[in-house]
Amino acid sequence: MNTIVAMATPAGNSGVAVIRISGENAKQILQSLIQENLDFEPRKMYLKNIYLKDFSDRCLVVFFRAPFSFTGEDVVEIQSHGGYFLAQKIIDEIISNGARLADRGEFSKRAFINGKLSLDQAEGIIDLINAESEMQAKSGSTLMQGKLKDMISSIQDELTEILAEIEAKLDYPEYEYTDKESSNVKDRMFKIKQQLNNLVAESKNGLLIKNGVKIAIIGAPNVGKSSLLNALTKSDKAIVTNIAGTTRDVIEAEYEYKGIIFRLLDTAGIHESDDVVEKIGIDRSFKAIDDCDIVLKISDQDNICDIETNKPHINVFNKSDLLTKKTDDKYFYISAVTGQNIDELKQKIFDMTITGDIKQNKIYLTNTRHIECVKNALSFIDKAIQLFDFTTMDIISSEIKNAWLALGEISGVVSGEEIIDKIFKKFCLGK
Amino acid sequence: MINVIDNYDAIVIGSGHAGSEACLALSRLGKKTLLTTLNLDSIAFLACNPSIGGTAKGQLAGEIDALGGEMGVNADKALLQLRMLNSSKGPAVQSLRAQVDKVVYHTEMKHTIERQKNLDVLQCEVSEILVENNKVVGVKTSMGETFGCKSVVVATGVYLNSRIIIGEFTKNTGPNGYEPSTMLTKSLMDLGIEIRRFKTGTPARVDGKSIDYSKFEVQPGEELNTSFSYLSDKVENKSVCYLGYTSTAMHDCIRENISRAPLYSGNIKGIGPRYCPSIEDKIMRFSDKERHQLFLEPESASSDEVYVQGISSSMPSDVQRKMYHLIPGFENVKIMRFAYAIEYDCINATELKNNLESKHINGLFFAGQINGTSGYEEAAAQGLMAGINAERYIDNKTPFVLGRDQAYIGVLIDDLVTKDIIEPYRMMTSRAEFRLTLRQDNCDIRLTELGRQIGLVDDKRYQIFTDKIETIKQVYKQLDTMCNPKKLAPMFNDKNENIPNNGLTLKDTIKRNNITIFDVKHYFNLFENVPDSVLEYINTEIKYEGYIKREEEYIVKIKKTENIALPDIDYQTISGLRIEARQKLNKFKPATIGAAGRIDGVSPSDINVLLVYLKMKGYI
Repeated sequence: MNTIVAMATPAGNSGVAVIRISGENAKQILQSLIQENLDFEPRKMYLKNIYLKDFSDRCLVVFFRAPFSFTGEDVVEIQSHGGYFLAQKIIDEIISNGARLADRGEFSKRAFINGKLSLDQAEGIIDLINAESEMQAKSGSTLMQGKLKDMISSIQDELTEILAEIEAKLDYPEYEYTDKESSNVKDRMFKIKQQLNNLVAESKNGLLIKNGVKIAIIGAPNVGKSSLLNALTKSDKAIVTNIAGTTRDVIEAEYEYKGIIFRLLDTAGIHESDDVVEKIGIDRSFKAIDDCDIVLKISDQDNICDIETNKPHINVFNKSDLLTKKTDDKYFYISAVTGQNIDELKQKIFDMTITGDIKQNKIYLTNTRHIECVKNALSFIDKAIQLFDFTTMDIISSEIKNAWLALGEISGVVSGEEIIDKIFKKFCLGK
Repeated sequence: MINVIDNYDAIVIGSGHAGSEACLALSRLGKKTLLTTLNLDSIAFLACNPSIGGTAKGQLAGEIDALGGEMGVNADKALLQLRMLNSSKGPAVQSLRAQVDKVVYHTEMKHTIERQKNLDVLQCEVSEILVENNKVVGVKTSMGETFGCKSVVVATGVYLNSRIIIGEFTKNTGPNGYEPSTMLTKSLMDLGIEIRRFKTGTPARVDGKSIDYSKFEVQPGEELNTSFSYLSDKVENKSVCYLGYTSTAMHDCIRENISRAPLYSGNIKGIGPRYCPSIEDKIMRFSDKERHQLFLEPESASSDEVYVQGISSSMPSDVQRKMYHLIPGFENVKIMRFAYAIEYDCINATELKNNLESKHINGLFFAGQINGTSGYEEAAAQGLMAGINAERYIDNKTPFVLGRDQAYIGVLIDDLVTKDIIEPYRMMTSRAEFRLTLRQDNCDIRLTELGRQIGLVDDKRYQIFTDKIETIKQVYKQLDTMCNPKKLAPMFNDKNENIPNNGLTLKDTIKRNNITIFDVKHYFNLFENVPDSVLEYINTEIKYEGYIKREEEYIVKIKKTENIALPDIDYQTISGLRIEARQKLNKFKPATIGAAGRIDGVSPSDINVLLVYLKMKGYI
């Protein structure tokens, strides 16, 4: 496979940038960069000059010999001085030496092909690469440790046991099964249903961790929506003027609170407008409401926000510092300008969107493919329980087998021999 | 070749259940065929239990019959008792099981073979398979005679270098004192075929007059609307079986003598099946089980011998005498033949293509227990397929291969040639992923048309089949009748079903939990001349329509990835595959992703690696 290169640290300014090369020419490329035919000792760091066309940079370099590397191929890592320009120059030089720029996720893909990662670990790493918040990073790394796999496997094992019992009875109908060999299959299925239900329910938190909580800020023009966005994110991302209709498109910004990313969608003020551009902005505002997890309806003394929404929402009353009227329990009073109640608002948003405990070491399903598999398994189990007293065992077994297969798509274990092995391990069958 | 006695199209070695089907299929397809057997009195000999069918095996027998094989017809001729297993557990797992008269079974099959056109039978021992340029050209016998042929079906069962073991006593012999075949293994090895050694066993036969039947529970046959063969009329139950139990005294006796059991003393080296454990194995492995079941089955209407199902053993004769006497009802039992274990040579069937032909030697086919299976039905199914494919080989036709979604026969052969079988292979319904489609009641619907194309379904069988299809169409037509609630009321009231507000077709009424096609027949005076077996089939098709459809959709879905072709890859170079998977894939070189996935030792994650690899390399 050809040799690939990419920046391993995020783009942007940083103290150090790490460049990773993987493939059979990795070492040779490094030798030509340092203009020295050095036989690198694997996993030992060297301080070397990297020569570019016009200048050189003093870098730390390290070589990993296949298969003892992240990708399972020969890998070189170069730690250069930070800065986009410099790192890009080095990458250009590497490319002119025969490597090509890696596709997104290609290092993980190679690691997966070379047996360094299981499918769900690879998925976990991709989550980790994309992780922006602390909590996100943690849910990525737990997945990487295969905890998810263990948990799914244990549910799958229980299904294997149940299937073995049912299948034994179907294939050996004349055999006399003792009480010890016959369990209450329905009860056991209920327990599995409960476990799968929990996984799906909690995956909502998992998805919020992964994707962030989306907040739409809506209200009449000039009630201070953009000011609130700036106050929440402690930035001046949104242009704030006292001219109504300044925000014409949806502006995105985000802040982190208690380890969760909150994405703010500042919308164009919703009102009747003849301005074509503003009208498009207003349409997008409605779309933002559809997409979000929670809506902040902003009102002030002059404009009460009366837009109807069936999403969870908070009636925020801005400009409390200018307030002359009596307060009303219906509203959450803040001042985007003075910062009054801004932290309290963050807490309220958190409480309304994140249900239950978000535990740092808890396993959340955050991969939509995994969630789909668990949901599938759940629907088969559900069907099996519903049908249990009304249909024949061959059908029940087929529903359970489908649930077992659905989970197998996460854990990777779907060999029918497993069930047959279990049958003969557990029951004394045969003529 | 010089000095041949005669030239044949095909020679079948062995006259057991595989050999019988193979030689009949070949000769019925017009091929001049020779059947060789070590002993003419062992044709279609039921060496173990006197029964045909059982879970999954009933389906196999039905499929053989639907394709034009002989097993079902012969079983019906010899039938002593018929039952439908799992009748309450759903149509997917219902299977016919028959007790048969093993004397009649043998003589009927022998006579059928003798009367068959194009088929010669010779008692002799084939000692060598003659091959030129990787092509079969003939066989040589131990007496030095040579026969020319274009194709050979090896169906030697358990007779290759077989050895029976009864405690410390061992003897190089086949079952029932029949001579073993001692030279053919070497010929096969010289042809480069891998030989392995398997083991199986059988219980004692006892004198029925010495049994106290009052201590057993009678197991009568059932009155069924069906028989094994679509050609047969309704069959009569002629005898009963009995159910009994072992005793703790018997268990103690076995435990005390366990050191003399060959399995534990090391006298047996062959690999035995987990699903056919000896009584000593059951007691040692499941020590907490206080008693084990046993069934008494009559061997023949012309004999008092009784087969003791559940108590196979390889204990020494003196221990056998003691332990059998400790079975309640066996206090005065007289053993007529001792239980024994038998070891035999068989081949690694992964050396075969899915038409059961050797991958390396053209025209050399294998069928039955030599391929590592166990069971009469498994053997017969392979014999039929090997016979059909040998004929197609001779005539240069495309192989006849059944899919896993078409027949248990397809599941069986696919498993045999792709999985590394390490113990004798028995068919089970759990092995079939599409068992709602592969039912006992639709064998003919699935396969008879194919059998007709092959040429084994004669006019009589085909007429019965097409008549049945016509009847089914008529019944469905009548079931499309729309009925208003008033007309439905009597049946719905009697059956405790809520009467619908709007009309329903009669077909839809059958989807109700409490209503069957027989209720419709009764309340609406329909289907007067339709056989009950046809109505039962339609009832199942309607009640399980949704599930059968789901299976069909799944079959279509998996066929997509199933058929992705695998190029010639050196799997050792894909280090993402687990080592075992790399070795297995290099060994078997599967043609498609589907075949790769069914190889033992290739996991779904290996398949994922392969798919990613194929994508990255641009193959897909």
